[in-house]
Amino acid sequence: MVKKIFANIYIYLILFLMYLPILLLVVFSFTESANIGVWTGFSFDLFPRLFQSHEIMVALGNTIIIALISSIVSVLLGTLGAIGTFYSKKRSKRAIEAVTQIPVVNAEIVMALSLTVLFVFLGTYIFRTSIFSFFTLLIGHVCLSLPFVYLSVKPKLQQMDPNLYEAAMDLGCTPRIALFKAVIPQIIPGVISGFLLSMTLSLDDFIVSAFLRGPGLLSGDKSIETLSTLVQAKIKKGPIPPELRALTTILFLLILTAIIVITIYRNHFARNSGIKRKLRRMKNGVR
Amino acid sequence: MKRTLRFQRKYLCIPYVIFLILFILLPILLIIFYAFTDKDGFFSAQALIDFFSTPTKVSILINSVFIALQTTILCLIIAYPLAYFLADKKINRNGVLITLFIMPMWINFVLRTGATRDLLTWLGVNGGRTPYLATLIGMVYNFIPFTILPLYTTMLKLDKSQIEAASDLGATPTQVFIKNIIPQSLPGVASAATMVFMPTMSSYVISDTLSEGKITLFGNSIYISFSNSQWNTGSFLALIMLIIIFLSMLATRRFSREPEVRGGTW
Amino acid sequence: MAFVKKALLLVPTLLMTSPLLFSCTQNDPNVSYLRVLNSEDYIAEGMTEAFEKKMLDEKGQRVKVIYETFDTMENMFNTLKTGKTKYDLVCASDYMVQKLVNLDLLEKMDYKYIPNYDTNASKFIRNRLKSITWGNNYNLDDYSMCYMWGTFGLLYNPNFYLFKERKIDAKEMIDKDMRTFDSLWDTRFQKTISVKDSMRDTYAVGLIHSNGEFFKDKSKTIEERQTVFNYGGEDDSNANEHINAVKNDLLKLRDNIFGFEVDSGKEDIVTEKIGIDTAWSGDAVKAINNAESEKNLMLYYSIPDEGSNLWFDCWTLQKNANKELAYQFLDFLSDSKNAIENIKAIGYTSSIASEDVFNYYNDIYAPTSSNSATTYPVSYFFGEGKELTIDTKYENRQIVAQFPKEEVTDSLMVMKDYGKNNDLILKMWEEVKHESLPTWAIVLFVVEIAIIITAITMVVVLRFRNKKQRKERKIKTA
Repeated sequence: MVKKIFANIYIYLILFLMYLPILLLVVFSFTESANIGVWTGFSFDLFPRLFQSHEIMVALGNTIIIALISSIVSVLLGTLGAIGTFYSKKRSKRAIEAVTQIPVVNAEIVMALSLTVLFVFLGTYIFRTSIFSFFTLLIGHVCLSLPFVYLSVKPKLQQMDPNLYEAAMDLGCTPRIALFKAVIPQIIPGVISGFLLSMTLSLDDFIVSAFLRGPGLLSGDKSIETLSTLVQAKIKKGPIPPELRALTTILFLLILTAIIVITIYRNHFARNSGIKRKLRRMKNGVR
Repeated sequence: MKRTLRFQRKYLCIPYVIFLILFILLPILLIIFYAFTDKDGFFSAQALIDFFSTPTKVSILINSVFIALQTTILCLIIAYPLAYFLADKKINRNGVLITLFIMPMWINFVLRTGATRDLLTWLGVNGGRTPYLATLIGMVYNFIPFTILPLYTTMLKLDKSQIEAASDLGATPTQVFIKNIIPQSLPGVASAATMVFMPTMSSYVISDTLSEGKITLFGNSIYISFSNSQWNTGSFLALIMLIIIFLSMLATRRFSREPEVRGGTW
Repeated sequence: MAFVKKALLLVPTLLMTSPLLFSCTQNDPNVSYLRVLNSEDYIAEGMTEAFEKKMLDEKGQRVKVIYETFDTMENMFNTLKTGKTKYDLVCASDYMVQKLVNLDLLEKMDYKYIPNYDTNASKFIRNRLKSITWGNNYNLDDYSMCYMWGTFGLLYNPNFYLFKERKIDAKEMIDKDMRTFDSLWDTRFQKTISVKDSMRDTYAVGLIHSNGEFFKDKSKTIEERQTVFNYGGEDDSNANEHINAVKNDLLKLRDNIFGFEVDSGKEDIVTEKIGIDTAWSGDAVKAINNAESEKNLMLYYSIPDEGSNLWFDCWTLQKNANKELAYQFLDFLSDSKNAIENIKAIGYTSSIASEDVFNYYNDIYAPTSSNSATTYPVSYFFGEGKELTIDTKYENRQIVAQFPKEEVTDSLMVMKDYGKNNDLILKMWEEVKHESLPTWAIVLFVVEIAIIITAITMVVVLRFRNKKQRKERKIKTA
């Protein structure tokens, strides 16, 4: 009992500390003062100001577009890669897996720099012009998340019944259809978690974006500004701008909602499966 | 017919392999090339000599190791009991709590760092007067979710029957903890440590933002070299970072056979 | 299942079209494009749009200004050098212009196409730019059009709470302490000072301090000062020795200050995180204005008696630029009305010295009553006999930052590019910036490492023993 109380106190204390900075931003998003800590009366004005801020909206749009596209590319490449590797010979499999490990353990700055070096090199010696653009940024983000897609799909492949594909073939499927109907559904949970992971990594990234961005996307002919690069430029000069506090509140609420939905879904699911299990047991018992 | 089939499935990984070669392997080879050449592209060990003959550069490395070690230890001290409690089904009934601990990761990292700094300023902890304290708080705050996750997953996998057996055989709770729980959770500790140690050494945003420019980490040093167009020096520093990463990978490999801990977020 | 399939098929199509959807293409033949790269927050809002409108209204030409910004000169240089994007006009500091000229990236300016600048730019600025020469008979005026200029000095809050605690008299601080850079080394101001996290500016401070006796000597001519101020540079035969001297001084400085900052200083001094900041004049004006309007805090600015850095931010014409349009834009910026707009927005002093600009300053610093009026001579900038009539409350504050006092102009020096010695100074700067571990940290570090090593050996030994025992047991049971 004592242990439980202590554990609860500890958990909630750490939780509170972890959320403190964010909560502070959330609280102060309802006042207009320039600095945190100064309360100048309750107001919702920061929210319309946030949506009117062209700069922030562009950055937000860019961030979301990049996250989506890079995750889709990563999922495609990574899933195909994982399937292909799974059926490859042992030696090439090991080689591919070793290389896949590199970006997982590599420091972000080293990765960003090495890609910059590569693109500058290609730009000067092959293309004869700058190649920094949306595509370089995309490649950077894909590098970041690709191995994680691979690693989340791989276990699902291992768990899969190896005869399924053959069975589908025997039943008259073409290889392509067999792949879609037999293999892909089996690994879809892994693919989805890979996708979500890629999104997280891409949304959170700063260093790779800062090094590899070029003109494009919603920034038009200017260098692509993502949320991270924008916030970095702002906090270098002073406290977090008031509009971004409002943004934090919105993000916070979105994530909170997502968590609540997931929890409810999970509980529901758990209960249902529990009931099913009970039913099954009852049936068995009757028999 | 089967032969042609096998062929097709195997070749699905061709785009993946090409991508890996072009954008993972080739850049690293380029880094190595730049690290051992001079401005005109001729072989030169100047960067190597420079690095080991400049006390600052080595000292920055030592400094970064120090900060990274402190962050790792603090993160582990805080996260270990946390993960232990969270793995207890009585306390964390349906895994919601763990989601709450990972949630801050979904708010932009730079924004979070800025918020930490603003909070610390508000509380009167000033990066200028106490750079180490401010940086450590920022680092721990940022990296703790990465520690909680792997520890939590190993704690879930703890062999309960072994623990019960130990206490049935008369071991005191402390003995159980030291002789059973700790050895069982070592793989988690090792992977948690690598999840924190390396990023701390190479991150430059946190130390820049929180220490008022007073603490230079290895990441800053790489960044400075490149932003001053010293490509060869920068490449050499990046190479050193790579070597350290490689070594630490070898070291922790013995403990954990699952490098995909970060994948456990979802 | 069908959905998954469709989605998977959709992806490649989406990918193929997405770049077309999102990136603006530059192909419209009826529009002329002007790519401008400027420092952040360095132009009045709406200026580029106004230029586009003017070109359309007056010349019927459709112009689109692609305006981008950079944060530090070094990053800008990197962008140009790595060729990330091509530009027509780039704003660069004096030394950076030198670097760009040396790399053969710039076109010579022809001022007959920029009539507004040619007639209105201050002679003081033009002459100073002409006097900065290097290499193959290059001079700054040939390659760059001065946009903004200013000084580097001390921004301070004499009523800072820590100064009160330390019993430092505000009046004495204004009249004496802040008239020299030496005060930055004064332990009375310990941990209240922010210094620029910028190699060149802080090196300049160190250089002035380590040659303090020389710079305080009023009899030295501007040429002599200029030479000493460029110690450590390419032309200095004793560079190593001079750089070392500065390094030692800066190391002492580091222990005395609160921190290094690039851009946050002007905020920090308003929020009373710090009491003294080394600042560029325009930032100082902004900070002084903000502090007064927001917190009723009186900040001051001073250019120490030793003299200080005089800098110019200039527009440069890139090789292969759209020259005609670029000149039009520069002429537009040099128009008195627009120059005033920019001054209002960014706080720095423009190179334009027209009557309108003079009147603008006379208006904003006008005395509130006749007994608080004083005159402030600015003839060096606006021409013979020009004097501003200002309120006394601006003395030692905004006005000094806008226009240095006439008598100090001869001690203002320009710091050239270090050329091949850049790496030496960078190395020095790294050493200054880098703080080795404090004693407590070393002790802690050693203890931790010792513990880790013992723990690892223990684990290894235990495992070894366990293995052995198991083997023995196996043998026994067998």
